Amino acid sequence: MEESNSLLVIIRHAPYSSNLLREGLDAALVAAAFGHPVDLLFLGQGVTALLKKQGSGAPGMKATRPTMDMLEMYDIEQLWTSEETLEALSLTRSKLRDNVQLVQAQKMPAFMKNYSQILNF
Amino acid sequence: MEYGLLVMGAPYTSPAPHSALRFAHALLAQGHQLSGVFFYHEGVHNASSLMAPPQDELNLREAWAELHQAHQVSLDVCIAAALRRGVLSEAEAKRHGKTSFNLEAPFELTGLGQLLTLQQRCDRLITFA
Amino acid sequence: MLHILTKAPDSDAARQMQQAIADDDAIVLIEAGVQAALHTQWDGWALYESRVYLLAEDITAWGLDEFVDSREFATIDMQGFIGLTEQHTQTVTWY
Repeated sequence: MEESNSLLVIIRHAPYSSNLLREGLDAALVAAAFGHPVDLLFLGQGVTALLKKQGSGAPGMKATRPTMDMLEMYDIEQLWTSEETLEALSLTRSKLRDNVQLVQAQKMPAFMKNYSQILNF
Repeated sequence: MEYGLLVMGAPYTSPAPHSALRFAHALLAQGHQLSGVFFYHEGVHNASSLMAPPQDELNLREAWAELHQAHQVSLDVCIAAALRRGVLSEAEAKRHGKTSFNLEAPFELTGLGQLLTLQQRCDRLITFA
Repeated sequence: MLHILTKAPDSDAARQMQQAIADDDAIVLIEAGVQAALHTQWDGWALYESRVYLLAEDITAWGLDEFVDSREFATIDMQGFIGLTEQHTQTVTWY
C-alpha cells in the first residue's frame, strides 16, 4: 500500500480503559468512507480489542465489538499487530480475530514507512 | 510549508494544548502557514467558552481565538467528540433541547472528514496529545 | 520519520515507539518525555545516539538543565523542533 493518501491508524489503548479506541476506530471508519486506503495496527493494550471472545456489551459503556465488526464493511480488512505485542501479553494469534496479521519486530519500522499518514490513538 | 495541528489533550489536564500553541506561534514566526487546528478526543474542551481559569493562568480558549484572529487559523472541533462531552454550539444546544451552549465562533463544529481534508491539504499534520 | 514522545521513557508509549524507530528516524522528547534526562540507563540513549533531542524549554521548566549539561544530551528549541518536522515527511506522536 503506497498510495499517497494511505492511512495507518495505530490503536494502543484497551477497549474500556478510555475512549481512545472508540475515537480511533471512528477516525479509521471515516477515512475509509472518504475512500482512503486504511489499515489498523494494534500495539500494547490495544491488541485486546482483537480478542475473539470479547463480549458484545460492557457494564454501562457502549460496546466496542460492533464497531470492530463493522470494519470489514468499510473495506478495512487489514488488521495488524506485532509479535512483540502478543508476547508481552502472553497471547497467541489463535485468540484473536481471524483476519489479524503479524508484523515481525524487525520489520515494524519499514512497515510504518509504507503509509503516507499515520494517526496514533 | 503548510501545517495542520491535531490537538487531543484537554486544557488544564494535559500539557498538549500548551505545547501545540507554542508550536503554532513558533512556526508562524518562522514564516510557515498554519491552515487549521483540529480538536479531537479530550481536545474538544479547548473550545469551551465557559472555562474560567484563575487570572494567573492562560485562558486556552481565548489563546486559540487570538491565534485565529491574528492568523486566520481555522479552529475545527469534532462534532461527535464534542457533543458527547457537553461542548455544544447554540444550534446543537437547541437541537438537543439544552438550555445553554459553550461553543462559539471562531470555533466550529465539524465532522471528522475535516481532519482528513486538513491532512490532505497540509504538508505536515502534527499531533499534540 | 520523526517520533515525538510526550511520556517518560519507562512508559508504554515509549516502549511502543521503540518498536517503530528506523535507522534514519529522529526522536524529540517533549513534555513528560524530558524525564529521559534522568534516565541515564534508558537504552534509547545508546540505541539512537545522535538522533534524540530534548525540547529545551520543557527541560528548563522541569528544572533538568544541569542533568542535560553534565551528560551532554542534545537539546533543541522550538525552532529546531519545527526544523525536524520540515526534514521528515512523516511525524508520529506517542503519548
